[in-house]
Amino acid sequence: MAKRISLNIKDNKILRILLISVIYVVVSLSTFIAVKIFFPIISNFGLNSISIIPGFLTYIMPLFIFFMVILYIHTSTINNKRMILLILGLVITLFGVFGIIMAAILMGVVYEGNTIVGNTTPIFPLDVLLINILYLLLGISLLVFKHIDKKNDIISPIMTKKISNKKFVLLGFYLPFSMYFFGQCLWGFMYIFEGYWSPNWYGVMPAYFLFALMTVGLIFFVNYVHDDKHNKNRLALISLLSTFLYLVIFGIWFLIAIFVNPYLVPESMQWEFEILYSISYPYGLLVIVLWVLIPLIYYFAKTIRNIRKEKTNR
Amino acid sequence: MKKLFRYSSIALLSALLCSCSQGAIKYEDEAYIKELNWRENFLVCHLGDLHVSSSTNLEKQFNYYKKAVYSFNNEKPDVIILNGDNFMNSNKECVRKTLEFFNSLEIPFAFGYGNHDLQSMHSPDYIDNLLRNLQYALYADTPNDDVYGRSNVAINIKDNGVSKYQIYLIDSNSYLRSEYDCIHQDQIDWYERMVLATNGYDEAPSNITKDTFTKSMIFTHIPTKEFKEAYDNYLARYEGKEKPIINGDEYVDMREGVSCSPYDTNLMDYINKYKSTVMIGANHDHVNNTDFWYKSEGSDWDLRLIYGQKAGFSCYFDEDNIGASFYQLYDSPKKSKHGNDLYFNDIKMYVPYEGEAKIIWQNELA
Repeated sequence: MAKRISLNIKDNKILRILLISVIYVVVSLSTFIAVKIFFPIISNFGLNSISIIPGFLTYIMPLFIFFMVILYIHTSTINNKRMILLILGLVITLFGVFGIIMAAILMGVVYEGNTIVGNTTPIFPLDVLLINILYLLLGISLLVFKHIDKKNDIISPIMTKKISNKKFVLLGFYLPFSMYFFGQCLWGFMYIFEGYWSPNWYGVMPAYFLFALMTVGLIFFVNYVHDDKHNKNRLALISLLSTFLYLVIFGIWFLIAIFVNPYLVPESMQWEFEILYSISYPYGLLVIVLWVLIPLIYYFAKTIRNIRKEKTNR
Repeated sequence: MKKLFRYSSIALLSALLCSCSQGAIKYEDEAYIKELNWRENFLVCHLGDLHVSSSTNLEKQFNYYKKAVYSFNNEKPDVIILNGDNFMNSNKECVRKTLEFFNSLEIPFAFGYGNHDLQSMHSPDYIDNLLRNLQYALYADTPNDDVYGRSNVAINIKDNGVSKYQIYLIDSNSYLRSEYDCIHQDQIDWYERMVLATNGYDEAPSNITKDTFTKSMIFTHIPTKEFKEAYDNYLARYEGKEKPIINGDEYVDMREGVSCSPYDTNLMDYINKYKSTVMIGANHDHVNNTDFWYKSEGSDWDLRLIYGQKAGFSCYFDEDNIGASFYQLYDSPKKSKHGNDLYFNDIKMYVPYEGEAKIIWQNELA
């Protein structure tokens, strides 16, 4: 008799991975857009901040929610889960209210009655209003339904392994950067046929693959956070080595491209490397490589250690 | 696993090899030349450092730009030069709307790239693709050409087929290894080609005088090294003394240093050789506003080095120093009150957001 495939997220690992992947993609894009919205504050020395901050906060909020969901997943007691839902609900509700007020000010005062000005995003500031209404509804829902119990907890004890504060703080640091660059990668691929990578596409392409690799680094980091002693060591080793190989290939490829054309970053990647574009030396590449390499090396060392322990225990 | 590795290696190798096959195209001179009709006191409007970003209140800015463009006696200029850093941290929507706005003024306009224009959420070709389709854009459609930079264009101002003046936009490029880049040699060679072509020469004549070639202006975003030299000379001239802003035909309101490229170019040699270019117009240093009279060592050719006014509130600026610069072109020189030959009248307009625009300074004719 064929095994029935459960559509219950508690029971179906593939469904869980799929769901997390979709959420990760959405939050990455949102984080990326938020950071891009924010940059004019820096370049304009704070000018027009009132038109930037509402958009930035609106689009960065999913990152906060995502982080709180991770915290929720890694909380083992129901009381603590309820506390997290309460805090999340309160924050999102207040945020939603603030966002709606800001959107109203933008529409009514700053843009003198225009609901769509379309400078920050194509439907700005209407998107600020609509998204914050969603946040408000979500926040209220969380406040109303925070009284969960084991039966209703949809994510329940799948990953209720407690993680240390240090690891959680590290994750909080690592996550936004990986998500931002993953969002950058997605953005570039979405517009690839619009000539997004021209005219230096041969040099831009490896950079975008490196941006994607930063998420792979995050996956290894998450495994480090979980410290799962039951992982399949040999499979882990193969995936580590493959990732390292890709890192080397794309890293060297990008390096060669920069040395062949020292104008590559200023010509084609000014907004990808916002802070580092005026420096044609590959500091941006170095940052990305280290970002991927550090968790890779750490996890590699742990896997080797686990393999040795396995051998000793036999 | 082996198959996957094999196929992905082939794919990567193919991609690398394809990239090696890209080559540059040499276009005919005509591809770079745009023509405008001459009139007496042909008026050039020079705007720079617009720094339109995704946070810019476009409606407010467009009203300002229109005010700036018409600020000199409410006169419609014959051409608008957008001299670089028109965009920074912008997006497609803002770029499109801004260029469409300038197109809607129904005044020919030339777009010059600065060091920040590509620092926005669109592909590097996006601005070019838009300019290609705008009726009033003076755009040289020369993709993948053999001249470095994006905004190299020659505007030939003619009266019944006779050249009266030229305007050259030369891309000052952006960065090279943490320094500002400079105008490349192939661009300088291009400039020479254009000077010859617009004046009907195949090669440089043997005896060049100041009347051999029609007069021209160069617009480039980042100031050349000559700006720094001129400023150093000015400081040396008035060392220990009060530094005047107005001195004869010279206007020097320098509120910051000259951020030029450290790399040497020989553009000045060509300018001195052909005695066509009478002015280099730059921006980039937002709060500087000058009309230096400059002569390089060993040369008898006067070159005016002009920092144009920054247009509008964005990035950094001084509220009392924003507006537009205008140039009334003369097809034959006029004497200034101070005895110099003026090939154009430099008019500096202060344009506030609220209130009347006013002339800060202009040349005085005899």
